[in-house]
Amino acid sequence: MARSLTELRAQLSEIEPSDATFAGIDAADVEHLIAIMGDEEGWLAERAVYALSRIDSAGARQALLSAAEDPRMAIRVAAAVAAATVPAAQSDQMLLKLLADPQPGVRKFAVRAVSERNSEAVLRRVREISAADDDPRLQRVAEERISSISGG
Amino acid sequence: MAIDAALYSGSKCYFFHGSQYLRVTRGDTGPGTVDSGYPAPISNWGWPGGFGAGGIDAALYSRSKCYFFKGNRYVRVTRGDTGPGTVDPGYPAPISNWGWPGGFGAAGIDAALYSGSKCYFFKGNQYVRVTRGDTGPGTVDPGYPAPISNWGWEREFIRIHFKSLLPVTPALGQFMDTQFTELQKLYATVHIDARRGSTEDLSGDPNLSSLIALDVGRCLLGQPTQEQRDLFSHRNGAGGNDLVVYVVQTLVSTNNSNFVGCATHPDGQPGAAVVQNSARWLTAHEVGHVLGLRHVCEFPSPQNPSPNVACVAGSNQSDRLMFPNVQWTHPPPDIAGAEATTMLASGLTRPLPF
Repeated sequence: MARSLTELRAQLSEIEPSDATFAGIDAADVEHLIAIMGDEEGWLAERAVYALSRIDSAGARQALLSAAEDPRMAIRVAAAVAAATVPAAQSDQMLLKLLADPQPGVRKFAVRAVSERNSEAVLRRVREISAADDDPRLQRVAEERISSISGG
Repeated sequence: MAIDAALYSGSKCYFFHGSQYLRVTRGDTGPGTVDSGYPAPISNWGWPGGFGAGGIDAALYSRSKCYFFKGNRYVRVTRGDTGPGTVDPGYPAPISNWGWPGGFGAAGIDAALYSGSKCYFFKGNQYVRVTRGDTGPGTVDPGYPAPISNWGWEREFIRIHFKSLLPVTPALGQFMDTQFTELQKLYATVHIDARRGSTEDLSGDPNLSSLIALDVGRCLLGQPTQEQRDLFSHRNGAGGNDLVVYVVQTLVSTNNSNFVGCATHPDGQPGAAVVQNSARWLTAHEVGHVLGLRHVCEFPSPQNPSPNVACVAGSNQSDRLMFPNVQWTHPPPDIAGAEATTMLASGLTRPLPF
């Protein structure tokens, strides 16, 4: 059952969230979650993305696509993490954007979201990061990811 | 320079140090004015047998009388407003004549204080409260001697440094100031003096740039991630027991979520990470964790439907600092007595010299 925007905000306002934070949130809450994605509290907007990633509905998936292009970095980080939970085709669509993000923090979590199910184009981008990213820490993360995917 | 004793006496105050004293024309709230001719030797007062000539331990105003203490003896003086007055016959006399319980003060006292109908006498870490007799010893109130610590003066302190992976803009500076000020006001209520250390902008360090989105794992105390280890190793300017609060853009959890703050830290590198937000007591909450506090309750979940202490809507749990949600009620939030004891027992709170 959909809860009010106020109730949803309160439920999502845990400092250190657990699975309980998202308990009972479902497709009926998507509209409010999309509204919270626009909240000026970045961490709460970000948490709405994580809530949406737990909902299997077209509206939620569309919202995650838009999160991957959000101007706020934290929202894009959440989208990168969520890319591991959505269907492969949508994951590819999100990750190709997020792996090219100007912020290394976003690229890092995008790399971590990549798995065997993703397309060759996505895997190629991870290999490029491992070979030549500006951020040496991120290069190592990408190397580890490639190694993990190839069973090395 | 320390003083040995001080004395109120109408329009004048007297301050004693070694064999000398100052007479000051009082200012009600300021330092007043030292009268000409001072410092002067205490011996000028000509007390019998040279009493107090080398210095005194304590002095006490008591309306028409003043008392001066040295070692195990004292003199009672009929006051002169601006001069030495007159030592009453029979003095010096032993302090033990006053018969304080358990021989308190018989060998000497450290300080004495007039306070209307009561006087207070201090020795070591104890004191007695006496219902005054204008010219006699008065009566020690029941329950004394008692520890001076009962007055709650003993305080501990922590020092908190901020290090930001975000550029320290005026807005971010304001965020850190607010977080610290609210923490400082709240912790003062439990006798912890929070002191602000350094503020460092780490946003220009290319080696840290990807940590702006920090992997905090499940944020379990004692189990920092490699990224937390890397970030918390940056402690420039922070002493071993100082706390460092790292400001990042986002704290990413392995449970497909984000934290607002996380107090997990490597051993020997105490601190917490927070994100910029409008929850005024977030840093106080996270530092509370670092000082040993746990949440006051947990929200039931499918995995744990019956936590030991469940959060109950409408209860006063949300009045407490360690409520696990930023929606505190009746702010500022509360710190319970047992929580204060835990914080003060933490090795990170250190005694303030007094």
